Amino acid sequence: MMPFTAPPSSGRKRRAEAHSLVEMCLTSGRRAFLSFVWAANLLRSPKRRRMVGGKVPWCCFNTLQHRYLHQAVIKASKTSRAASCVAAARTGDRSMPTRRPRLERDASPTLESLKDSVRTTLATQTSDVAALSHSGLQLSDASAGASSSLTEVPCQPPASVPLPEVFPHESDMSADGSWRDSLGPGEARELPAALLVARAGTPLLSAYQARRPKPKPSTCVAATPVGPATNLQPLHASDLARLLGNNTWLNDEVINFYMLLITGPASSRKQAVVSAVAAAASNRGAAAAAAAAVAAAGLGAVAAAGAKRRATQQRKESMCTAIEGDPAAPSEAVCVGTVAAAVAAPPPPPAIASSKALEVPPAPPGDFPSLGGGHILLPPPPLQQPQQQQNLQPKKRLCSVFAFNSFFFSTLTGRGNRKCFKYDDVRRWTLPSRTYTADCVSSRDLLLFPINHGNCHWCLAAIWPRQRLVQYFDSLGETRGTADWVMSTLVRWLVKDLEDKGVTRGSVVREEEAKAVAAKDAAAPPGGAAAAAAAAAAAGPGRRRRAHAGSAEGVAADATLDHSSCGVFACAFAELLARGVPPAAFRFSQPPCIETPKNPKEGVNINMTNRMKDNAYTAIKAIVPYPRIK
Amino acid sequence: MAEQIGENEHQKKPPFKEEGNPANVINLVVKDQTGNEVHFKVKMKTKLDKVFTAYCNKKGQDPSTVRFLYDGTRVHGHSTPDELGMEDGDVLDCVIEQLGGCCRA
Repeated sequence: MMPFTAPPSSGRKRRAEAHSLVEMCLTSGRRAFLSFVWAANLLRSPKRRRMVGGKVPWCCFNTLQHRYLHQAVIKASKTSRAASCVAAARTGDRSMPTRRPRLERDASPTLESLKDSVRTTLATQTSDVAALSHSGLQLSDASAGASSSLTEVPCQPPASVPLPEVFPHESDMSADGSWRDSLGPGEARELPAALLVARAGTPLLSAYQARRPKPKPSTCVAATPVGPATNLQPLHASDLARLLGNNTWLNDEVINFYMLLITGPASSRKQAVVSAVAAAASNRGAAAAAAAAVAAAGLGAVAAAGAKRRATQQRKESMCTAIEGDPAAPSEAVCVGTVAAAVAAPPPPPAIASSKALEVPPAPPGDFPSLGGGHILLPPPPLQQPQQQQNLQPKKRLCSVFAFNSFFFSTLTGRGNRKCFKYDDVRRWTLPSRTYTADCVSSRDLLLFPINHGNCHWCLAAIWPRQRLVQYFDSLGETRGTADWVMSTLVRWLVKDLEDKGVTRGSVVREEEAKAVAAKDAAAPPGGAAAAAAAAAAAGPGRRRRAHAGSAEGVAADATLDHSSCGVFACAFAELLARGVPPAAFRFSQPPCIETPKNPKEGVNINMTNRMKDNAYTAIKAIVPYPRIK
Repeated sequence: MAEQIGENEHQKKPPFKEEGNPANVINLVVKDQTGNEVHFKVKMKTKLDKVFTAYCNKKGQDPSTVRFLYDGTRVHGHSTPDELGMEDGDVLDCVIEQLGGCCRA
């Protein structure tokens, strides 16, 4: 048994520092997450874990974030020797020390060093999402001239420059003048060590990238013109490939942390249930959301206090305006229309009548960017003058998301037993005090369920309660039976939960919803048909919509799966859904993995079955199996 | 199967403090996925780490592979029942780490 690393009994000051650090990381949203994933991959290796395991909990809690942060620091310090070599080679300076000062084993990293590493990470990430995920370690050498385009404060292109329709790839970044910061062209900025390494690139990666064709515009997510998501950062092939370079699996900590980021908003505990809308409107700004996320993760009273303070701060600063959503939102094509139609004319994002649209407040210069309220995953807003902000910032319609734990489904089904339905075990999970919504979770636009199958596969299920739509996303693109089972179970749970909460709590389940649920319940027998009915039921009662089972052929998802990326795909599905991208517009590209399967001695054993080998190098066309309709 | 957590602290403190306030101690139930329950008596100010450690020692499980959920929310060891607003008889779910790559079971 591994020794349990108990949290050291540290002072309040240290804890507060740690919290501020975590908030900073959470604020940066998905990009920080990518670095977490990268660090998580490090943790997978027992050797490395042993190496750093003893001194991980320098701060008072043994959370995911801190371990990963620590890992990032360790990694950065490890590579700083290489960085100094690179610098020496570039400047011709032979006097550069060939040995870097090692990170002392016994000393825990100071807060400053952690913050520096995070800043470094964030700075690199301006150019590419993936770049940062590795503290810039594996950035391609093609971006060698990009020094002036990197800033300490991550920023978007100024608003005067129209956003590129396709997010430029990392290698294009140096050529694009709009990404330069306030530094003059001749001015040199002292680059952090990690950045230097980033430019040098690792030999393996540069060789790999030389072989890798540049992603076509159509292969990145942002290429699809989706309503509010104009400045989406695409999930490039390289993201996935780099994240999973060593073919490691994701565990529940990473997935759940990501889900926490997606859910984001809610509120701190004190403000629990007023009403869903009020709660959604009360806390805006990423810091509030991040701090709320920290509080929700049970990180303690200090975090809650910080959340409150920041929430008030943000409320003062932000210029959020609420805009009426489109009542006729429904996006037929998203639900069930033919995929061809969906591709030809992407429907508006699923905006719901009562959902409020947010305007992202401008990031205070010199600070880390704040993100859209409740949606941490949005890219940082452009750094610009506040008076320009109002005109130029596109209005965003965001849907409110609630992402469940990955343990939800396994608990509900008794660890994946298909004949099991333990509602009582999860009855308390959707209490208003837990979900910060007055009416179960039905007031949210989107419910996300990460699902773990047999401790070896990640999938994602989604419920759009108002559109009566259940979706199931499996990056392996098969398993009709599993999809049916998952969806029917979730629908059964939702019906029962609404009933339970609606009756006992007497709360605000809307009339039409209750009616519709009742109608559906009466009309459809439990089981697979229920899922189908829920998916097919029209917004108005009595109307049925036809859906195309297996319409996934039309979804040209240029995805090639290795045997370890389903967790990342699940996260990507969740993120895209939360952003309002219709499934038909999902685009992934993942180059075939060129690395050999990982050494079974290290980390997770992977048994390559024949079927997996088949899957590993062939394009998978069917990523989004729609629910079958009776 | 009840275990007293925080007993040492209890003994160190002057007795009148504890005796006068019996509501300070609550019963917590740690329930694993097979339905087995272990009961703990925990003081409101005791960090849940003690509970987790005791549970893992009792069950012989690696603490790094076990997650504790309170009403579906992950609970970390540094928090106390007081912070989480726990009440007598509340249940902590103990679940085992999940892992996923892309293969079928």
